[in-house]
Amino acid sequence: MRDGLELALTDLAGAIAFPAPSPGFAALVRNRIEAAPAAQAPAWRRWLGWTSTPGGMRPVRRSLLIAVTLLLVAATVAAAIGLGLPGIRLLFGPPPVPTPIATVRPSGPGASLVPGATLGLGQRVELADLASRAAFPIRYPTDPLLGPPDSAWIDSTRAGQVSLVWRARPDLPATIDPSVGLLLGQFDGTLNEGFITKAIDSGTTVERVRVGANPAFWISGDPHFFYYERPDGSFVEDSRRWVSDTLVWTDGDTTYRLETALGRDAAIRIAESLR
Amino acid sequence: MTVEGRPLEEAELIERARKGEVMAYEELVRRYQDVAVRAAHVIAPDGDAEDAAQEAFVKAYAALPRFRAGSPFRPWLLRIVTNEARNRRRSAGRRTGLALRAAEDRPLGDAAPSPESAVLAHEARAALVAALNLLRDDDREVIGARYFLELSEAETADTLGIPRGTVKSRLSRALGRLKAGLADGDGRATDA
Repeated sequence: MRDGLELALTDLAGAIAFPAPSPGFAALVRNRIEAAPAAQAPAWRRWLGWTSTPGGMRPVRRSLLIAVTLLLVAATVAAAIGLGLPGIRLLFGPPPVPTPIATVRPSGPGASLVPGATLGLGQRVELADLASRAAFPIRYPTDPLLGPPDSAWIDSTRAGQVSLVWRARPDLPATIDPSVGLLLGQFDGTLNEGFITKAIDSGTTVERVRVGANPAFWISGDPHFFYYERPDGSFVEDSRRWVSDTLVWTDGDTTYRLETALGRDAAIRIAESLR
Repeated sequence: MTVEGRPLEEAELIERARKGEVMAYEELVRRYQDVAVRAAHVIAPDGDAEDAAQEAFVKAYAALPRFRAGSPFRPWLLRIVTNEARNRRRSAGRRTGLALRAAEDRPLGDAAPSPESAVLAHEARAALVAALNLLRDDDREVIGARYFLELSEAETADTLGIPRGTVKSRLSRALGRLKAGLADGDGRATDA
């Protein structure tokens, strides 16, 4: 039995100014999907093993799809390749949206001196508070070149992603952001239990490397773009601007993203020093 | 979309869409676009609901391989819409909330009220909307899901990502806070 308030709410449903989809709504969705086939087509995802379909794909069908897909990869520039890193997938092709450039400038005394302040990394956190504020254990590089980070950030809008930033200095060359010498992102893999997709311009090169015993990828060249997808279908877009060549790897339950202009070997050395 | 004149069942459309038939997915979009846009508006009244819903549909297509065959599609889709709209709500600065339609926009078929009763009804609805807009987001979400989207308790739970067993109690508390807000007279809700 509905009381007066519930009846009033039911009545209100017809009086609220709800927007209606425009006449071409469904066609627009279709156009968007067709415009980004490499990033969106379920067939790619099935091939990449991203499906949670009960029973999965039959082996013969999967083999056929793999064969067809490999042909497509060879034939097209904007093709997708799964690189098999636990908790992460990389996509080659144009970014689904242009890589945004952070435009918000920090405010307050000395704010402009904080490296990484313009990158949209989330909320700045004191290093001493980071361990208690982060949702997962944070690791720091012990490589003597670096020392402690100059700023730390937590982005609550992106599943609690943590970013550590080192200021550019003579022995730590500036990235595209002149204030940033090195950027280390850390995200909780178990929280997402899904994958991270990185759409990359065709001018990007990806090299298989290792960080200790873990497979890793050194991504260099043109700008790239991250987004995470959770099992429930929600996406976490990492729309901040990229700053440099990137080393990506997963260790245990955490995925790391290290951006530096030091080059591949130094990046791997720093990555392997994480404790 | 039809086969031999027969409208395709939802499960068939989903299966075809999973295989990459974008036209089949477009038909699904057409079936759910109204409720998706409405849901996006309930979750984030100050955002661009159509844009959020469109983005959610694109993401849902990409996520189709993880949709469990045989499970209800609507709440699965609306969960993605909800997540998209919540993300946008977090980045939206201003907060004006839901609004009433102009009186002349009432649906056809409604009996024409007298001018006096129309004014009274409009004032009552305006007070209710004002009280709703002062509620916490999770209160407004559960009320919106049940009364504006007309979702079942199970669908509400799946859409909002809350345990099924708590929908009833959460709704009850939200209605209590809405009542308190209305009782304040100026539409200012209080935390229970």
